[in-house]
Amino acid sequence: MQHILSLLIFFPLAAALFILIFFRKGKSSMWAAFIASVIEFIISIPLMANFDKNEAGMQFVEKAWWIKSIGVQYFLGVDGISILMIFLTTLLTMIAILGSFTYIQKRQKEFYIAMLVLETGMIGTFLALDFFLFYIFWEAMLIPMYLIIGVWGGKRRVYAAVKFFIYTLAGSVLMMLAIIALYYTHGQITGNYTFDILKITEQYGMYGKGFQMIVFAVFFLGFAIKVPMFPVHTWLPDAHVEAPTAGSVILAGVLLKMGTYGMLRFCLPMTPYAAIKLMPAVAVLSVIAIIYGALVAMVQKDIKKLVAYSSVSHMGFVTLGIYALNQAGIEGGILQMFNHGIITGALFLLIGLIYERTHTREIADYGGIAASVPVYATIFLIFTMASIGLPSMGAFIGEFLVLVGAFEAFSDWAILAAIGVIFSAVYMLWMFQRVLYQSLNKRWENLADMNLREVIYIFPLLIIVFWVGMYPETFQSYMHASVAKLVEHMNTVAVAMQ
Amino acid sequence: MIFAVLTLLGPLVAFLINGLFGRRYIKNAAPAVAIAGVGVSFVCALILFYLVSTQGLTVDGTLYTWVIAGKLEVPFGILVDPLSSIMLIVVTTISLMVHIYSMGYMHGDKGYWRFFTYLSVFTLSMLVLVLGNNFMMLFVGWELVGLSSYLLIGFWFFKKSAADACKKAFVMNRIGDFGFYVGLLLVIFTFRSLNYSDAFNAEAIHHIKEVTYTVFGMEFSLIDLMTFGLFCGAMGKSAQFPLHTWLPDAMEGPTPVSALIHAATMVTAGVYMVARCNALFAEAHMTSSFVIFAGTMTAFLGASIGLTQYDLKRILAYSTVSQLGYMIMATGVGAYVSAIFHLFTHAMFKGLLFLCSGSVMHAMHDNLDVRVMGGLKKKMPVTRWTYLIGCIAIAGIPPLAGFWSKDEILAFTFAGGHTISWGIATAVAGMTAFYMFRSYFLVFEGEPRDHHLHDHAHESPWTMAGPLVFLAILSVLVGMVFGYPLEAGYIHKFLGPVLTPAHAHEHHMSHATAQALMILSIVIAVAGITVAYLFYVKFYPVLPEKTVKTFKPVHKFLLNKWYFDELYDFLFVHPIVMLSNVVLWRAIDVNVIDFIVNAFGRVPMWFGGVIRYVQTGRIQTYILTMVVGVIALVALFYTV
Repeated sequence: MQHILSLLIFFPLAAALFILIFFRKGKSSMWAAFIASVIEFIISIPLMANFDKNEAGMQFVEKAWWIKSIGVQYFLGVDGISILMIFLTTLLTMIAILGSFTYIQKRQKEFYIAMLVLETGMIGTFLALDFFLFYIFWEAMLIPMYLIIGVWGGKRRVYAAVKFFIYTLAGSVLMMLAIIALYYTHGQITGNYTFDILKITEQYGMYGKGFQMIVFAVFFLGFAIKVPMFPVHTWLPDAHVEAPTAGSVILAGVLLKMGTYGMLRFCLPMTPYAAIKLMPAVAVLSVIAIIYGALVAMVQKDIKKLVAYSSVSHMGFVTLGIYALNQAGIEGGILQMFNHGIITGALFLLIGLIYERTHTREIADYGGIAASVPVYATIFLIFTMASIGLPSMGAFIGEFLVLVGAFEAFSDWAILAAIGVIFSAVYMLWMFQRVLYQSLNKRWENLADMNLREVIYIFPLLIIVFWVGMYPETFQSYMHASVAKLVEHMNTVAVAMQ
Repeated sequence: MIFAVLTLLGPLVAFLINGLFGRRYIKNAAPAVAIAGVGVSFVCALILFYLVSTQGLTVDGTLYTWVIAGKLEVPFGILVDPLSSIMLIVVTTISLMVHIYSMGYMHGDKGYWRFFTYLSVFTLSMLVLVLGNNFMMLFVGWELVGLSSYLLIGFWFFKKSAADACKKAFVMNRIGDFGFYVGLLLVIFTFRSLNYSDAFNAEAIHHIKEVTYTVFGMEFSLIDLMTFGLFCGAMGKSAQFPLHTWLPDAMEGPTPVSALIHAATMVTAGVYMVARCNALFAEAHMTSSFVIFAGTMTAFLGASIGLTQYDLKRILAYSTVSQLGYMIMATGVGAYVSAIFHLFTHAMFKGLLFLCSGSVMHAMHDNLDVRVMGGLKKKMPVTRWTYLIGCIAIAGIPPLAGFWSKDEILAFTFAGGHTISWGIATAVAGMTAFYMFRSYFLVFEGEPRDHHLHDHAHESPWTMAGPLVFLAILSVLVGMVFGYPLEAGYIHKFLGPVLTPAHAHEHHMSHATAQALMILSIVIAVAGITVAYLFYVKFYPVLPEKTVKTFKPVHKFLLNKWYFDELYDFLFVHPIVMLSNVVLWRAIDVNVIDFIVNAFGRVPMWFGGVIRYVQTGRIQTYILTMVVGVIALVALFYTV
């Protein structure tokens, strides 16, 4: 148990190296990568099981000096905010790899190596507690993702990959500036130059108001690109459309959450004064994202683009909840991060598997395929309804918590955000109707229904969607303590401000 | 408690079995599974009703804590009281009848098992709605019945009209649900709880009576705002003006579905909700006025359109809209018991009428146009008699069911001093009698108008006729059994304790006024029937044609349903799609934001393009440049 976090981070990388050296064929490396991702998932289970839900702070901590002269540590830990993300990452990577078996036909070995390296980057980002280490993982994650879009993507893959890269690089540079500013300021105040995230957070009271505002703004912009929030969201539709299925799943399922995770880990606790001052502004941006994303999603002609824009809308709920700065809102935000990963991941898998058969994503090319692929239609319907936020399924609980929290913090904006429940029904059902209902397009009369492999990788997501919907406490119980601590932290500052 | 849980488990288990194994293994045995499921619920509902009525049983229990939102805890909890037990009876009775009927009606359909799976989902959702002990459970049932309605309207999804209709129903409902959601948030804000027991606490309500709440800078009475939000949900679900347009389109679904969901049970959920929240609505005077307005308006709107329609199911659908208006109006004037009573009787006779129309459709090869029918009474005696009973019941002729509940609503409205509403509602009663008998005369009396169709017509099998007879008997009896004597029948004794008598009861009418009103409503009903007889039997087709010619613009206006669909398309659908497509997406996303992003990409590229010309790769050029550079530097150094 002592080094389980290191194991989680480096096992996929080791597996990738192993595949690189010992495997030559695409097919065998595919299976090897899948097995590695299953093992990785299995490793994350004892982590979940042994996690102490009453402990608000970091657990399974690993700490060692790395570059002592400038205060860089190898420092890992997991708490209630990151643990669900770890679970989501190992689960979705496993499923995405299984979902790529027939989709990826060229350079298979390289693809699976990229996926495993990506997993190392993602897990490392969620676990790192040292800014230097965090930044390395953050950047390391971008490269395989860039390659996945740029090499295995669709027709405009190069444009999409470059756009993705420019945007996220801009975000990274901003983040680096904020980190350096914090490093020096913390060093000057305490005389202890360190990249230790927890230590830098502890000294939040020493940072001046102006300094907090600037650092918050820079961090926020960097993370907002990742989320993505309006108006820095335009990389997402292109990246999603061009990325292969596995890329879209990981992108929507995990990478977008890096942004909101960053906000929770840095923006709120390190610069609480600025966060409290600016929370109404962020609420406005969130509401714009919710409504804008939904409206633009409505008029899309490409299914993947539609789901991509819907992500902008759904992630708006996450940021709205987080910046409500109360227990219900933040828990809702985290739960919604998890739900969105599961539901949107599933939707991309479903779109991907039908694309493999039809080679089109234009909504207009479909029509009535529910008649030829009944199982597919049923599962698609379930995830459509889950995405709309139907009760008994996960997203409803997440949205409910967010709205309860947001209503307490800024009721007018919460009411506007609730309009999102109308538009989400409009765009999802309209798409569903044009793809699966109405008269059957003759081209798809003999379309093959989902095969066993496809049912297998969707099934866990299906279970989780209902599980969260019917008994969310299983998932919320991990975050209660850590979120309570964060909320108390924010409240102390808010009281001091008055 | 055990029976309440069993009520839910029946359809749930049936749904799971049919849903998982129906397509491959169960196939044509699906109805057996589904009927067993709803049968369990039916028996449990009877037992619960018995226990509630004889022993005064109330169950208010928690199965587990469902959602924890900060300090707010929402239980998965169950409430059995007189109101929910009577709703259980309505839901399970109609559901069971519709299940049996569907065995015959849907026989041979490709999606036989799928149909019964959806029916189980619906029954389950409706039971959750009715049995929940908090607003969250109500909302869950609320949304899930919406889902089942979506699935069942779109059952024949390959028809574009059906696919359009199911989407429209869902979206219209969602518009109402938005209001409902805001109402929920206000309930949480006010009572720090979603449990009925906390929200309907007289003391708590007393404290917040005068409190105001500010939304977007405008100040409202908190309780008015809260109830208005909740009522928006009811407007969606119970098809009240202006959100009523989805219900007639919902007739695209199979007819048993129209009977179950879009006549008897789901659409009355709004009425149930308002009655359940009577403690709140009774204190919300602004909202109550709006509720009366919406109800009256809907009653009139539905009846007026019903006068002119030619599609049998549409006639019944607009009649449902109109009757729902009655119920909502009743809740607005504070006659909650009468509203629920009308819900109860209406479920019986409207369910019956819809099932009859299905039987007619079956005989007429899915033709629904009343103009091609006629003279079916000899071919389909059971359907004819039961349909006639339904018509008499809805028209309000004593002693059939509709009379008792409708008369109470009219009397309470009058007594409450809502004279305009009362006047309109009384006129609507006459219109109802007219258009219902119009449909009856056109379908069953007179001469056959399409001989080919007529020759092939036949009575339906007993799986279909049986439920008709059963519901017809109920339509005759339930009014008398529960409603006699007027305004003081058993139903009042039973529901009175939960549906606190509100203002309407304070100013009681004299006995003479009550009797005068009763006679007036009977006279109006008889008048309506007589006019229908003159129009569609005696002077048919001369008189109707002449009337249509004389009132052409009015007729066209009504035939086109007041142009609501066109208006909404013009006001909302087109502008929003245009805005999203042209402004938000193509202008802002693609031309503004991406232009800037691409510019960022282009600057380095352009710069690189310029630099490229310098990097020629020829040594001579490099040396030349170097020499020039050195000279320039030396010159610069010496001149300074």
